[in-house]
Order: sequence, then C-alpha cells, then structure tokens
Amino acid sequence: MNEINDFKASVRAWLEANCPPSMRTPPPEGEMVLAGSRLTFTQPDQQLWFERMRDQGWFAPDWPREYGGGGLDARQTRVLESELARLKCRAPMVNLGIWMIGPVLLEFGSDEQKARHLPGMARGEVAWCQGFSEPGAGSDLAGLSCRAEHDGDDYVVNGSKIWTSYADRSDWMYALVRTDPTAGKHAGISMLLIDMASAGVSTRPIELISGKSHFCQVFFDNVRVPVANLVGAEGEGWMLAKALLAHERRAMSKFGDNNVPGVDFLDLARRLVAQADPDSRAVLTDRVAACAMDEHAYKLMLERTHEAGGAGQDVSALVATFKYLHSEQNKTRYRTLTALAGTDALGWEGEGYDEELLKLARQWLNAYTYTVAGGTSEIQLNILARRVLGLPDSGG
Amino acid sequence: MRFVLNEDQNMLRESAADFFAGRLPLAHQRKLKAQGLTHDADAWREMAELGWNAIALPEAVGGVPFDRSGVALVLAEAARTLAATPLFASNLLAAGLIEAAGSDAQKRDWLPALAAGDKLGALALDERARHDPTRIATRATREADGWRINGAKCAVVDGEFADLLLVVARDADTQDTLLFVLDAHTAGVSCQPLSQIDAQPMARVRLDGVKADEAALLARGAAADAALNTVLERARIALAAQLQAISRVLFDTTLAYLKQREQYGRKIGAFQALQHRMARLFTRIELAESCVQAAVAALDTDADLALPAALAKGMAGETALAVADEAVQLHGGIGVTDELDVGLFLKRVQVLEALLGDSVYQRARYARLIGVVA
Ligand SMILES: Cc1cc2nc3c(=O)[nH]c(=O)nc-3n(C[C@H](O)[C@H](O)[C@H](O)COP(=O)(O)OP(=O)(O)OC[C@H]3O[C@@H](n4cnc5c(N)ncnc54)[C@H](O)[C@@H]3O)c2cc1C
Repeated sequence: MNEINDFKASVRAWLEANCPPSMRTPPPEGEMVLAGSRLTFTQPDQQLWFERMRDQGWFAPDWPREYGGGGLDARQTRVLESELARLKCRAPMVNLGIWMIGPVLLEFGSDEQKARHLPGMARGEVAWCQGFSEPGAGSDLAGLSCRAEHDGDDYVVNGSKIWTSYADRSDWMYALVRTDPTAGKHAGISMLLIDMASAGVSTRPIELISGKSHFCQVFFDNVRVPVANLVGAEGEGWMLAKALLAHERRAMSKFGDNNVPGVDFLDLARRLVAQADPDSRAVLTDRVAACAMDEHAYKLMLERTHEAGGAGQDVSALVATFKYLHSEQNKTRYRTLTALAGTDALGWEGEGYDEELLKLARQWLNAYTYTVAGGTSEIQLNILARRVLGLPDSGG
Repeated sequence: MRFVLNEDQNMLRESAADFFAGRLPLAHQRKLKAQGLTHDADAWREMAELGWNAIALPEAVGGVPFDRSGVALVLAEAARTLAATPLFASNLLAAGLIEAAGSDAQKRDWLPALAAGDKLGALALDERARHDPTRIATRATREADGWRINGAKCAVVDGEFADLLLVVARDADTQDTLLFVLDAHTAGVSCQPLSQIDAQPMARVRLDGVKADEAALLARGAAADAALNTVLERARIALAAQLQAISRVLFDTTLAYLKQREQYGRKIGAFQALQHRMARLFTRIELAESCVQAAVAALDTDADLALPAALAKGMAGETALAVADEAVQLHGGIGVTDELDVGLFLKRVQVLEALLGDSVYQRARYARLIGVVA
C-alpha cells in the first residue's frame, strides 16, 4: 500500500514538473502529434512533452523494458493513467502501434517481430495504421477480399483498404488479408504487417462531407510481404483482430472526436432560441428540451452503469446501447442546432460567418460519420436485438 | 387539374430537364465549385434566351405568357442537378414584387431588362438567421428629395450578381413597410458574398445611408405587405418544389444502392430493417408530393397561397431532411464522403430548408392559419 502511494506521489511530482502547462489542455484542431518517422511538432512544448514522456518509457508504460516500455505493473499503470487524467495531460501523440497492434504482438507475435517492431513503437518512431475495412467489406468485415497469395518467402498482396487513418503518413500497416479463399469466411483471414514503403502501395486521401480528413484509401498492387510478417498462424487473423479491437475503445478515448472541438449545446441553444420568432420558439423549445433530456438521461445511464458495474452487476446490456445512443443523440443535437441557427448555420468558410457557427456547420456534417464509423447504428441495433434481447438471428 | 400537368407544362418540364442534364449536370457544378464559382454565367444567359426569366411577366414588358407554375417546374428540374439559376431571385422575387407592387411607370422602367435577363434582381428582406419578415430593422428616413436607408440584410440569394435590389424597410416615422427598388451600385450599398455549404450564391447586403428617390419606392403600408406576402408564398412553393425534387433524387439513388450493395452475402436491401425505413420514407415522400403539386397548381390561380405554401414547404422540407439523413446513413461509409453526390444534396437541402422559413416556421404558421392559436 505504501509502495503504491509513494509511486503515486512520485508520478504526480514528475508530471507537475515535466508536463508543460500548455499540454494540459485538449489539443486544438490539427495539433495532434503523430508518432512516426516523419515526426513534426507545431510548438516547442509539444516536443518537450513528447521527449520527456518517451525518455521515461511512458508511451508504453506497461510494456517490458526490453521492448522500450516503462516496465510498470498493472496497478502502477492505472495510477499513471489516473494522474495523467487528473492533470488533464494530453496524449503526447497518436500511436496506433502502442494502442492497437503492440499489445497483440506482445501476446501473439514472434520473438523476432517483437524485437523488430515494439521498441520503435515505444519510442514513437514508427507510425502504424490499420487496414481492416475495405470498399466491399464494412459492416460485414469478415467478407473482406484483399488477397495475400503465398509465393516463395513472400505473400503477394492485391486489393484495397479504406478508412485507414493517416495511411499517407504511416510507416507500417497491420492488415487483415485473405490468405485462403477456399477456407470458411473467417478461417481464410490472416494478419500481415506491411511496410508502407513497399513497391506497389499507394494511398489516396478521402474528403468527407465535412471537409478534409486524415482517412485514406490504400491500394495494393502486387505488393510483396515477407512471410515472416505474418502475425500468428495463417487463418488466425480474425481471432487476432478481435483481440485487437478490444484495445480500440481505450485507444479511441485518447484519439478524441476526430479532432473537431465541440460546441456547447445548451449555451448555443439558449442564445438561438431567444432570437427566434415567437411562434417558432415554442416548437424549437420543445426540440431543445427533447435533446437536453435525452442527453441528461444518457449521462445518468453512464453513471448508473459505472456504479452498478463497480458493484459487480452485469451491465453488458446497458453498455451495448452506448454507441448507438451517443452517436444518434449527437446527430439529433446538431440537427436541432442547425435549425435554430437558420441561415447562419449554412457557412462553409470565410468571412461573413460567426466562427462558432462555422464550426457548428462542420460538426453537424461530422456527426453523420459517428453513426457509421465503428459499426453503424443499424448494426448496433442488430447486436442489441440478438445478443441482448435474444431475438433470432436472420443472418447478417 | 391540380395533380396532372398539362401539355405546356410537360413540355417545359422536359425541356428544362434536358437543359440541366445536358448543360448543367452535377459534374459541372463540381467543376465550378473547384474553380471557386457559384454559378455558370453563360448558362444563365442561355436560360434567359430560353425565356425562363420572363415567365408569367406581362407581355407588354417582354414577359412570356406562361403560367407561373412554370418557374417552379424549371426550378425543380434545376434542383435535380443542383444547378444554380437566376429564376428564384430575379423572376419570382424581384420581378414578382415589381409586378405586384409597382406603378405602370416602374414596371416599364424595370421589368423589360429583368424579363430579358439583361439585368438580374434580388430581394434583400431577412435580417435574422431564422426567417422573419415581420421584424425588420432597416429604416428609411424621409428627406427633402426622397429617402435615406440604413440597415443590414442577410441571406440575399444571388445578392452579389444583382443589378437591382428589392429592399424591404420600415418608415422611420410611421413604421409602415416600405418596398424599394434600388440600383445595386448605388452609393452606400455594399455586398458581401458568402461561401456557403452548397456553394451556391448567397450574400449579405449592407445599406449605409443609401439615398433613394421617390421613383424608387414601389409600395408602402398595406399594399407593400400584401405584395410582399404574395411573392413570398410563391417563392416558398418554389422552394418546396425544389426540396421535393431532391427528395426524389436521393430516394431513387438510395433505393438503387440498396438493390446493388451486398454485405453478408446478400443485397443490403434484403434486410427488413432497411426495407421498412425505405417504405416509410416512400409514404412521407408521396404525402409531401401531394402537397407540393397542389401548391404549384395554386400558383396559377387567384387562390390565397398562405395555407398551401405553409403546408407544402413544411412537409417537403421535413421530408427532404429525413430523406437526406437516411440517404447518407444507408450508404454507409461512402455516404459521408464528398466523392458521393448524396452529401451535396444533403447540403443543398439544408439551404433550401432554411430559406423563407424552415419546416418549424411553416408548422407554426400553419397552426395559426388553421386557428390552433389565435
Ligand atoms: C469516418 C469513418 C471512419 C472509419 N474508421 C475506420 C477505421 O478506423 N477502421 C476501420 O476498419 N474502419 C473504419 N471505418 C469503416 C466503418 O467501420 C464502415 O464504414 C462501417 O462499418 C460501415 O460499412 P460500409 O461503409 O461498408 O457500409 P455498409 O456495410 O455497406 O452499410 C450500408 C448500409 O447498410 C446497413 N447495413 C449493413 N448491414 C446491415 C444489416 N445486417 N442489417 C441492417 N442494416 C445493415 C448499414 O447500417 C448502412 O446503413 C470508418 C468509417 C467512417 C465513415
């Protein structure tokens, strides 16, 4: 007990002394540092914070020291994370290596893979991206068709991946590929580590309805990948992906909301309702209240889930509603705000629009992505209906 | 007939459909946008040559003796390819107001150029982000030789191209509504073009001590209110027709996608959850269509347009918002990309919905019109 308290005190002191105050605020748009070989900083404090955390080994606090980690045990890691949260320290970078594929390699990777890849991740020197979704495989991810054919010491990869964050700035990709088209849907899938500098890899940025984004489509044209880059065994890709996605929730909480800063719903709604004509005001008030009540209820449900879960109750049914509720409520909120803001919410860019309302328009458009990404609302409802309510599965 | 177009209307609609599909297809709008343009000036001239700017204006001033519904029909076709046209601002609003409120001399002075498309007009009415034609702060003060106008207007469709500005103001003394027609280049008039989500023309207009002579005053008091109301109702009906046209495009596009896209080894349209979503949208679209057709038909009669306009714009707007949201969602990831046209229609719907009263406004107005509130 004393030991952990001492640890806590030393972490707190270290963070107080080493986390620059400017790094204790949420990062503004586009100010997220991206791990990788092409590391760039937009301001000196970012670099300071990055380097100090790196040198502590705290990018990957719970990884073994031999792989560049901090060597902390689970309890110490939790202490570090809660101290980071208490001080509102920014994640020093976006690092899908550490957050996603690293833990999978630690558990399932070969010794050679661990030695080769983990230290670079832990030092933030290598940028990793994820190659899961494909143009033809979204909701039905296991229907993926990106092909990896065994040829001597290599696999030859052909196909395409989509919705790959930062693919154009990444050094490596962990990808799900189909190694055996004759095996069952899931059994034919393997996980490969692909060097993005390989011949035949190309990327194309995706523009969203809300504007530029960090998402890309990636194309593989006869890309040769050494067999040594297969994670686990052939056909284990789906199992590995599931293990990896278990880390995704944690990663996403660090990633933030696509880097678009939010507007304060009630604050804006109050101001805008007051400006509306009296007849419309009644209808608008009802809309705002409905959104506010939904949001309030959702917050209480989160709190309830936390408390009941902590007390050992089964809260899985509640948790299964979160993604659906949160993303749909978000969309409705923005629909309501744009209605309130009328023609002021129609701005794309430039002068003549209030800056907050320009943000509102982009966020409204951005809200459409959340009911699709990470499993569409329809798929969330399917899961609820089948796994929670026990209704029969009609397949798909 | 209210729900079946006559031969003339059908011909106009078809030639408009051909024009927009051939001359201003959606791909063309993308090109314009990439060049930072909000419209194709040459195409606007061609529309004028087709006589569209002159529809329903008096023949004596160069008008074309075609029923006013023609403008709504052309605008609906334009909406299907997201083409910008001068018809809404110049024909329906500006020329419509001069025709409804102006003296013979004023009509002779202004309408021929508008009918020929040699000049373009725009209406500077709204001052608030949510449409509200009753709360006008722009003031006109009487001076020895005319008026002095001060105010700020938002959401002026085509404002930056307008040669003529129709300005709604209040008499600083009597608070009467005043309707002015001004040369847009008059000293004190300034125009700020806006970059809007749909990339179509929109501007803010400021009037700083603008001098207007007596000949610039179209109407005042009750006559001005009545003319303004009539013209706004027509414009709302035209907006409803455009919203409805987009609902159709989005619905058809989405329906086709559900029949083509496969996941889990079958067409996603095979999922009953999605079938019901589409079937429900279909019921909404057909309800809205009935309201829009009735309202468009009413344009050609002497009927009071308030109720049909509120119903049509309210129903078409609400339906279009729902259809657009569903169209994005049911396309999955590709639906939120700029590459797909669905997002462009979504943005245009948002604009059309906001103009001259959104569906919330129309619903509140409808409630008053049918006496739910006194
Ligand atoms: C902004 C954004 C970020 C993303 N980030 C990532 C990422 O980081 N990594 C990654 O791997 N992927 C990512 N994706 C991909 C995302 O997971 C998929 O887009 C999503 O799963 C939907 O797949 P799809 O786009 O192929 O749509 P489809 O699966 O084709 O869906 C089309 C429509 O059909 C519906 N539908 C499909 N199946 C059913 C069914 N059985 N029952 C009822 N309705 C159904 C869907 O709900 C949707 O409305 C991202 C997507 C977006 C938009």
